[in-house]
Amino acid sequence: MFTDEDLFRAWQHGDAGALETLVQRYHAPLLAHLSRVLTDTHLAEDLVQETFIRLIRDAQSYCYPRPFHPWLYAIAHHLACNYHTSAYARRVELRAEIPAMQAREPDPAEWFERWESHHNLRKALTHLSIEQREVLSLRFGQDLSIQETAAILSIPPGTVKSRTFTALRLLRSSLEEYASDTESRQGGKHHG
Amino acid sequence: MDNSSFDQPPIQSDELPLDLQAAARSYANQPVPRPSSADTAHLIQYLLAEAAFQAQDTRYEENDHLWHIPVLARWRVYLLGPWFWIAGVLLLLAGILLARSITVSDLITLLILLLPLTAVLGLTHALRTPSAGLRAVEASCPVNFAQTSISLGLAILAFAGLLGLVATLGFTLANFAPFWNLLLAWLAPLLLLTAISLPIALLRNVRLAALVGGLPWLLLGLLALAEQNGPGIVRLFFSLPQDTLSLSSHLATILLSLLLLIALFTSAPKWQRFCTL
Repeated sequence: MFTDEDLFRAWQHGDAGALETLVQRYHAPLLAHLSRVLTDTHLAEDLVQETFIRLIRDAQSYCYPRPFHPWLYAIAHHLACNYHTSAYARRVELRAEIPAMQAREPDPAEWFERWESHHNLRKALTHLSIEQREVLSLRFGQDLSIQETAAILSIPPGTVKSRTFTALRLLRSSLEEYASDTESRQGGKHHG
Repeated sequence: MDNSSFDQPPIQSDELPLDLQAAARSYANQPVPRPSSADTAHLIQYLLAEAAFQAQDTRYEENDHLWHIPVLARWRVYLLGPWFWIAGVLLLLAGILLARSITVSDLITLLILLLPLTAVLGLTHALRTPSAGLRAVEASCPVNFAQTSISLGLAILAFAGLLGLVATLGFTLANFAPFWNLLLAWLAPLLLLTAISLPIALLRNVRLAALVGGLPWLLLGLLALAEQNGPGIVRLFFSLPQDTLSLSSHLATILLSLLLLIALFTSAPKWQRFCTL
């Protein structure tokens, strides 16, 4: 099996099939990552496409055997940051998306419970900064090490650690708050 | 697009306390969208077409992107609205009107002090504040984010330069100062501070750019006004260049700043990815 670096070098030399393989490898992980970071699937799809376009445009600046994976994610990181600080992003209110219920879902109550926990998580994530969401996505969504995360974000490993802890603490306190809200709401319903 | 599938990667929880591991696990278990094979095939088709287009037009784009800058500058100027520019003029006038004793020397000092400050503060404000329609301009124009910001910076620089030119003509007509000496006196700091602030604003942040570009100059200017009658060395920055050394240092500053701005302007596509703005 060819490495990412081999494939990209082949692409640089005009092998269209190499690009195809790279896109097949990275389309899903990159979409998952950007979706987690931006909490918006449609926007994530746009930025995945833009990331690959930037990859093509900047192909000449790649020097083999530079690691391909951190380079690709660094491009996505800069695009996400640019979007986040753009005028448009500052005006758009990020909303949690409601996933469609699939035929295999066991029953509506369970589906709703799972949707609510997902909704709470999404809501809690909007309280994190984009930097914190990126660290969480790379560490726990993409399963990267502290060093790999640090390389992609161009920050020291110590900052990755502290950012991870801060983000998780914030996430935990928001989730606990939402859970107690839900419980009190359900309690109120039962009393009613 | 399958929007309800669940990714469950293993948690690297070896360094996390137990209470945070649960939060990390909920995070990792959140559903994420997965592209279908048709989505991926569509993306590949699009990218291959884009790559072919890119290969065909690389040479054209390398020479052509500079021509988009004036177009963008026009849009960014329009989007900032009239009050931004009126505020620039008011800042300049207010500084002059607030001076306690208006002597010709004070006026010249204030002009040299306030013109670069107007440009630096205007630049940082404009880069920090979004305006209606900005995203549409960013999305519709085939140049990158850094180029749009640089175009705005150059438009503000041109505006401050125009204000300075009008003031210099007024001073010359009133026989307060020789035209070329006064022009060099404010143009050198204006270009230098803009050339310093612009990359800092783009690569670090706008507050730091305002601090680095504006604060030392403001302090030096206030010091120069305070020691108006003294022989202080600070006065050299805010007085008209008279001797050869002073003239040549001003010219050298202008040339150096112009070189910096041209380098920023032309190499924007290469360092755009490092922008933090």
